[in-house]
Amino acid sequence: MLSYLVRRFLYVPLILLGVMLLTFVLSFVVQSPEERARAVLDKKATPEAIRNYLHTRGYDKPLLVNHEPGASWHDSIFFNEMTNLACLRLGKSDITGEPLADKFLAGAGPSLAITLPAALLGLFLAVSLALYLVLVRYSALDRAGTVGCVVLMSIVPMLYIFGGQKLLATGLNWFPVSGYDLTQWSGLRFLVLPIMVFCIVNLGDETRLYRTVFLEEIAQDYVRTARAKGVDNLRLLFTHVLKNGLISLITLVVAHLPLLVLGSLLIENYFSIPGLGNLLASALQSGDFAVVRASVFLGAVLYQAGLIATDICYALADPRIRLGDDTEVVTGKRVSLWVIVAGCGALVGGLWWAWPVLMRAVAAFRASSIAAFFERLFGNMWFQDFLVVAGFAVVAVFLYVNSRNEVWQRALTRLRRDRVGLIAGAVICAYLFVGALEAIQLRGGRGSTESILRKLTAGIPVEETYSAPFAKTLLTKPTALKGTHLLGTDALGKDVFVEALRACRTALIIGGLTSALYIPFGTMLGLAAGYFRRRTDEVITYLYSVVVSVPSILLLVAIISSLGKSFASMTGALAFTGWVGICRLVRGETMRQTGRQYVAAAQALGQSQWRILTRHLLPNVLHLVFITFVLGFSNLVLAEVILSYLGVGLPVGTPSWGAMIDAARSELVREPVIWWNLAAASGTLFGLVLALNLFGDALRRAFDPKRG
Amino acid sequence: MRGKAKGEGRKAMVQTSFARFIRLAASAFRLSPFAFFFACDTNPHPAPTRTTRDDGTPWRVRYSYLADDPRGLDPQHAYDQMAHRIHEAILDNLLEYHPLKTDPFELIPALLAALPERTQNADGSVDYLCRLKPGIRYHHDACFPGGKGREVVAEDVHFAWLRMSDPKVECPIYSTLEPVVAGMHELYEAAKKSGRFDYTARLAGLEVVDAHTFKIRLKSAYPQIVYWLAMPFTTPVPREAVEYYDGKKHGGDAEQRAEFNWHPVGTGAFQIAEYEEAHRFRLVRNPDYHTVAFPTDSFPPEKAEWLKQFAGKQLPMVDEIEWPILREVQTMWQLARQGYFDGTAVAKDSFGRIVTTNGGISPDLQARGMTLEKDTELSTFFISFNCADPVLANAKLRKALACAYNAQGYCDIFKNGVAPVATQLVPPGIFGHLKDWVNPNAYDLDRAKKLIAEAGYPNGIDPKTGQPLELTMDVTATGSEERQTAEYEQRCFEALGVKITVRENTFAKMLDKEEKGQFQIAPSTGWGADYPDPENYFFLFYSKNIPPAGKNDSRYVNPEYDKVFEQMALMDNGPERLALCKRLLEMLNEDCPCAFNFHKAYYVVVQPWARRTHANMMLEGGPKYLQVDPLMRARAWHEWNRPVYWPLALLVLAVIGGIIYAVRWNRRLNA
Repeated sequence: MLSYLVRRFLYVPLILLGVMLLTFVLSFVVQSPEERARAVLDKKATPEAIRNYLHTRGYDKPLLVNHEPGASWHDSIFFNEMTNLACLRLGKSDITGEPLADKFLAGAGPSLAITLPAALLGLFLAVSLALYLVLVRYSALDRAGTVGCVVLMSIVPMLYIFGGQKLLATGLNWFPVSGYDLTQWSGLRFLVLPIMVFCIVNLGDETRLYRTVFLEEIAQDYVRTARAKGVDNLRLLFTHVLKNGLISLITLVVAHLPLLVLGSLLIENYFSIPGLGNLLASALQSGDFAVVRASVFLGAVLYQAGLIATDICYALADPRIRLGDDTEVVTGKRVSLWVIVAGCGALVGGLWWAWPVLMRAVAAFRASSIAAFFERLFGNMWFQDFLVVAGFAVVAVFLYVNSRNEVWQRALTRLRRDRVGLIAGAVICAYLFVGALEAIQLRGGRGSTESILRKLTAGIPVEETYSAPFAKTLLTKPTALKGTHLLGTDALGKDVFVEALRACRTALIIGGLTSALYIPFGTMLGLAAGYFRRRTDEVITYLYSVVVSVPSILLLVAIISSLGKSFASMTGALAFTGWVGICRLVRGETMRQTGRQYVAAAQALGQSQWRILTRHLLPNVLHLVFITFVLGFSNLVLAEVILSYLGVGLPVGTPSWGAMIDAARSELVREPVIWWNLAAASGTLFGLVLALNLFGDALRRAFDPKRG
Repeated sequence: MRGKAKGEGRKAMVQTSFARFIRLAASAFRLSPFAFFFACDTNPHPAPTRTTRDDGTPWRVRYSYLADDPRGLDPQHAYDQMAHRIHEAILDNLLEYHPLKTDPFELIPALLAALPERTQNADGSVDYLCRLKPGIRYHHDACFPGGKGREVVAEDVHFAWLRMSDPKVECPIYSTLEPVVAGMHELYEAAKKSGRFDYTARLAGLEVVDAHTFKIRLKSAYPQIVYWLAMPFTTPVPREAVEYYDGKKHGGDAEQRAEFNWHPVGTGAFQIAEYEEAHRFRLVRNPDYHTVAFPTDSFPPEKAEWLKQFAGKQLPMVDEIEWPILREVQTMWQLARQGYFDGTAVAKDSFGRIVTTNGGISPDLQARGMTLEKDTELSTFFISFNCADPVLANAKLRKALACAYNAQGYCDIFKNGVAPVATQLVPPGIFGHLKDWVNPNAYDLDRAKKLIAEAGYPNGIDPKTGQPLELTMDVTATGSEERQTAEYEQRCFEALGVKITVRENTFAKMLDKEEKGQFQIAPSTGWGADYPDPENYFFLFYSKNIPPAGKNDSRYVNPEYDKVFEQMALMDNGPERLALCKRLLEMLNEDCPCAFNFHKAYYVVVQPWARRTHANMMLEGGPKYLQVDPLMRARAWHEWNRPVYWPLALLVLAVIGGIIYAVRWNRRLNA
């Protein structure tokens, strides 16, 4: 075990090195320090002030290698940043100049005061609920409970906050709306509401997960033996299943415990808790990239600590597991250090050598018409639609080809009998249909085009500004409306219901484009890692460990805010963080399948590796890919909303649920409250996400009846 | 019952002991960690430092909020709004604005005994003779010997002005004052060369005459200097404080000292008692404050009767200020509805606006006695056209665009008709604003169509290509409102038949584009007044202010305009100056480098116990003039926020039902 731990610890700096390189590229290469300085200095941004700003922070040094005579070659932003982070010197805030270490220390307490109790309470609640569902398994209540979990998952997190504040704080007057004070016992009242919100946001997801874990456990042989010996159902559940199930829960929970220190961006902002989430949110707003950089790094360190803790806990909890050179545990894996050391060394060395050439090439590319072409291409509605339709076509072809496969045949039969799944599938088709209506453009007047949906709704007039659902007059003045609006009109007088429908296309494009990017990529890497093992596996595992080490929301925001807002950057960022999950999953499954006889037979027959991969292995892991695709789609739709909310959404004029919900922020503080925009957006969004989740569940059941 | 049987005397005794027991138990319970759950209170504020004043009257606390942390509190460096809010409470400036005189604004002496005396010298230089009020002391602070604040002297002003010239301090108004204040430039350059600022040097532009008298020497006339004397940059700073608060540890177990940037020492009406980052500020009154008293004149007629009681009163009128830092407008509004803020917004805080749809307030809030008041900020927002752009160099085209823009619609939709449409550059309340002025380029689509035809683009069609004229509009994209306004503006211009492409930029990119002139239309440009003088507005189109030198983003160049502007800038207010302002405005209307949009304004909610004594937009809320009725507020808090407990019972029932169901199901499974 000791040698394993040593290896494991040695692996950590390598991951961190990767994270450091990633943040360096994001914070200095993609957006230059000058641009950032200008944003921070705002009104005062005279050239003199910018020079001063850069100089005091050391950002005016050469980026990679200092070629100036008299200066040492490593006196550059790159080497200074790297040494600082490596020595855990977090540096100073770009804006106030305060040492970040102090800020992080001060913020950790309040963050933990919310997240730690919330996580523990959440775990307790989720485990109890899951046990309860297992207790009443396969009853109507169980089915209702599972659907309830999916419903909880499909609601936008912001709604829980709005609702909690409205209902429990101002409605029933149970808890304060916001605040924080832990100097006395009575200050605990501030924590109740945020903790409740934090719990409920994750409750659905966790309960469903734990229920599956327990159900899997209950199918084990020892349970059958115990039952045969006449052990009472209740006792069985609490003494045997719970204890054994908890071991697998460790892997799910412990790794994320250290990350709790970083707090929650949304909740801390809303409840004005002076924690790290709040710090980060304000840093994003004011452009303090030093804080973002430090939190990304800190997040990676904490996550690695969590992984090590998981390995240790796992070994302690389950006596069967020995951490040694030949065991492959959930997270730890055999790493030949030198491959990665050499790789990183080569990367740094190569960069040093190729840097000027590379920078010139990047600059040339940016200025060239090719870049503009790509930007226009991805911004083009036709092209987006084409990509998504092509993606769906590929999926359809695959499904058709695979429908002869026995596994798929059986799944299809089962799916046909699943009523909930079928209804969910029908709802998804309806959304696809609406999206297609908006996507197909017809030629309109004056050389412009108009979508079918717009043509169909052309009879609904545009008003001057807000009006309530079914109202007769505008909200602001007694001017009569030109028509009736099912869900009222928005600030610009557009019918909210129509806008919500139009946003379907946006959601489908975001989900579709991102999936089209990350699914093939992740699957390919996962297959390669699982089949070739050894070096290939090591490199790929390293890559995904680096990406997974950074909390994904941080990475998303960092990428989009440095690339600028567009369809391309949002899908790119989502794909960049998304491929990891599927890669991992496919890698595991491929490893399992590679041990099967049919692969050995194919190898013995001398089939090419390409053929084995594509004709034998791929079809056998494809169902996993499909399920991940459907469930991942719903996450992408939700991610768009949260990113819009954090100010890194889609460009102007794109109808999107995220933008509508973001607008609700200021609409909810009006007198009278304008709720229909929020209701329409979150309602339509909820429908799609719920349908996707239920359909994904149905698929999973169909492919793997054991996991019911 | 037992007491009744054993006679009257005994009964009383039992009752008292029983009552004592209850009280004891209650206090024990209150101390226990579980109490919070049963004694939940929706009040988000921590307990005040005291409950009563020395004279037995209730301690008055004023509750409001800050939308963000200040970025630093160094008087010579901080330039953000939150810092100015804090500064106004804790520092006195040499001059300050009369809280009740708003049209026109008026400066009154604060640390100075009287307004500065101006003398014009023969060589063109100008002297301002200033006398400090004697006997004004700094706050008690550890940086002074014995911890007792010493008197403010003219040498402190000199020290502050030296700091303004120090490159390391990064004073934001240095570049404004450097051309006029004698000696500033030399000191700055010398320090840049040597890398160290020499604090024993003397600044030629500020001559200390005696302990309380100093003279400011300007190289050339710059009448706007008096307005800078009403800002924290020019306020005296004790040298001891800067030397003491160095952010280092002195001695083995001494506590680490704060940095001066976070611990300024002033003479203001309040002192910072507590500051927790991202969380809250607590300010407590300075008992020795006597720099300024409540004004005795210029009461607005509608409030005169009520304001009379405060005339000449000692300031500040509240004892403590509690400012939590709240970033979410949603949260702020919920708390205000519950009565936990003494008003939704402090003037000029765009964050705390509340939009009401019809200028009224909902009946339930009205029943609680909340009222609405309208504040109009000293700001003008306009749409900039880039005059240096080859297409937009065409003045007729610019005029056509301006006429096609419906500012009234904008105000109706996005400002709910609260913000007034801007007809001219100078906002109301500042000298140079022409009352009853009609904007000749106001919204008139027919005229716009005529103009665009005259400009050479009939129906918006570019004759060269036969297609609609393509223009780009650069906006910053920060939130949903910006998206909607951009869409609105696009819609307005496209009514001309042209095609507008909206380009979204990050904030940095937008500033960069404005600076380099790489834009055609920039719709969200505006200017908030630094000081109430027309020079502060008309300089936005002065040709020497083309970026990076200044903020003439439209790149408007007109030698005639420049000449008139230079003349107007140096004049004192009067009919002649007004005529020149009118002349400048006419030139702007003729050449149309921008389309005027609106002046920022919003409603604020005022609680019945905290009526506003003033609404001066040059002040950041004027904390020392605030008043509050704590007893009325305490009653309201209690009445408005009674908890409702019956839903708890429902919850308990649901849990019990679930358990029963499970038990019965389980029995079936076991059978």
